[in-house]
Amino acid sequence: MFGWMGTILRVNLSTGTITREKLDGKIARDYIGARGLASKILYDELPSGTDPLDPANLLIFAAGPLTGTAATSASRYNVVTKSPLTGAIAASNSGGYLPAEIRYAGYDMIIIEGKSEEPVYLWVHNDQVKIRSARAMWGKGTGETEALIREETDDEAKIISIGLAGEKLVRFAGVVNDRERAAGRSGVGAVMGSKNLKAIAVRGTGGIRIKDVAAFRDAVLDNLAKIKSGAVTGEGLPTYGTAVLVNVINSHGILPTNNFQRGEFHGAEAISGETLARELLIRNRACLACPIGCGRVTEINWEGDEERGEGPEYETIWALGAACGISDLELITKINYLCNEYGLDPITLGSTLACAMELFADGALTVEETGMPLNFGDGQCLLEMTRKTALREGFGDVLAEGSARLAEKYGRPELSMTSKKQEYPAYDPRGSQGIGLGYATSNRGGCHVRGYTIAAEIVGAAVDPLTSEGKAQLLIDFQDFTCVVDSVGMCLFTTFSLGLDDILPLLKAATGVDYTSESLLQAGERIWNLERLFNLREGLGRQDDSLAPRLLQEPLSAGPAKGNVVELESMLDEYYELRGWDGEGRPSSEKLQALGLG
Amino acid sequence: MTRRAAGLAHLELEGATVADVLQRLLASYPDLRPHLLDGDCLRPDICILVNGRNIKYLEGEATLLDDADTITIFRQVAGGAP
Repeated sequence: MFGWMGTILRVNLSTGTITREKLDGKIARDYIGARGLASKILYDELPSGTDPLDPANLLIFAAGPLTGTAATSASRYNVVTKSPLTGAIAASNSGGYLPAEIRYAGYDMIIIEGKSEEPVYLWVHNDQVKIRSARAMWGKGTGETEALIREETDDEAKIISIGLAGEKLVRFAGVVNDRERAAGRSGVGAVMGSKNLKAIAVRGTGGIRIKDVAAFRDAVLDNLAKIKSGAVTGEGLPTYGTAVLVNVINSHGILPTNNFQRGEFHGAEAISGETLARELLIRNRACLACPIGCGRVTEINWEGDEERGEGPEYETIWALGAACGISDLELITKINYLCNEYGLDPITLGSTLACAMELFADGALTVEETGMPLNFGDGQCLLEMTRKTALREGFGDVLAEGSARLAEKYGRPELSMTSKKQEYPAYDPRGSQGIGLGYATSNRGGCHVRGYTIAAEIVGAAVDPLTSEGKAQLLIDFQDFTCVVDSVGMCLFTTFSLGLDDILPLLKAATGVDYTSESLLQAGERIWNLERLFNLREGLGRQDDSLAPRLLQEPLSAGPAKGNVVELESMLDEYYELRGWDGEGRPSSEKLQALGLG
Repeated sequence: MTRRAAGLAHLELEGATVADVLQRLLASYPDLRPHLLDGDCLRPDICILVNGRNIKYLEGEATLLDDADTITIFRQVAGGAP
């Protein structure tokens, strides 16, 4: 095969069996790779109703056919499983250097089945694959785990690991690769922990076969020029990173503050990308083959010691900042470092704490339960609760379940800012209607990167953010295209400068498959519908394509979206119709047949 | 970007419309001109908000202003986190 490596590595931790399987060419073409291909395997192999933390759940680490090639920012992979946070499909995405290493070792993906009796890690050195004891690493953070495993394996090994949060089955634990890159969302790290799998170390020395090298090179150079000259990819992200959004989103009145009670945060300037660049930034850091370099290497002085790490990103700054009413950027950065070490999703962590703070303010929670006051704006309690959550210590054991289960437990389910039990990211949809529909219909629960309509509604100002008109089609276009981007193995950030017709020549030249714009976008639609079928089979439906009551019933009190709520029901009806789904959100038989899913 | 070019983050200006305020801004900070204008027209990658609302959805540069209105200017250079 060209583009694809043609081999799947499958490891059963219950039996210790290691097998190599040939990748089916037709399935590869139809589902592309990474998110799409792994979702297909999960759908075909996982019995419905499987407990996500049961050994029967699959955990798939999947790269795309462009991952590890010279294509711009093609450094990504997806971690796909059934989520312990949502019960829906999870596909969590990360970059860095590890994803390409899986391909250089000869594999398109690694499938983990079963559960080891003892903590182990997987050592993949080209065609040599071994399951080794991880007793020495169990209980360690991700940074120390990487260092210990590198001592036992190879200095050049690239490593995925879980921290204490994954070991303790925190429902929003992520997996961390290359020290500070994370597939953070939906609790994929808890699934890894449930299998007693501490880490996967990979060293690959092979190459990737490209069908038409000259055409591929031309496409890479063409895309590189577009990335370099694009305002977002060539200037904004390299200069300020993602945190440049803090002031922009706050100016639009949609920076969710104090658990989405307001859309404007008085402390925004103190936690902005401009402040971060001025006070904490050491240098940029790029993933493999990325000319953008959005990563921020930062340094803080913490209790007399200098600490260095990566981040925080915009979403983290918001979740640990405005969502909790906190404007101390150094503290936010410290907690971000801790999240990388513990392997915690900072979006769900911050949003869960924000929910707890509102419960506390309302008297639904007291110090008796929490052990300490949980007040909006109190950074020290956020710091302490981060540790307790990762270790499931005291009240942290309740927080480790996420905000939906927390709010339910204390009788105020409406205070959880979630869809499908996953916490929203950093945009109040009452002032950006399309992203509201996106949160509601996201196959993995509350999420901005299944269909980032903010690019059109706010960043590019191509459409009016306050209207719901036309948003269903806009979102569908974003969702299907994003499926393609995630499945080829490229970074979503390239899409600020590149479109489907820029990715098409790369994929054709790499694989030799005669994709067209139409067939490639249809592959994206197929992947979206397959994820939907997975969720329907698990019992999810229209009732789960919803939003927190606050977003539907409580108008924003100030700013340009003052008086607005999300007009969800009308957008949802239109969305289902345009998708070719019935009123309950089930794909019609005609749609399934057209996509080859019937 | 515009903030860096001007060397400041906030200032107060008078003007009946957005166009008036822009004119006064450029008179005070001529170095901003290439960052905001392409010839005599506003650059297409510049966003201007009045009280958080993009002027594209108001009356453009002819948008009328009240005393306490806030104008925000930024380039379309921002992206979210994957």
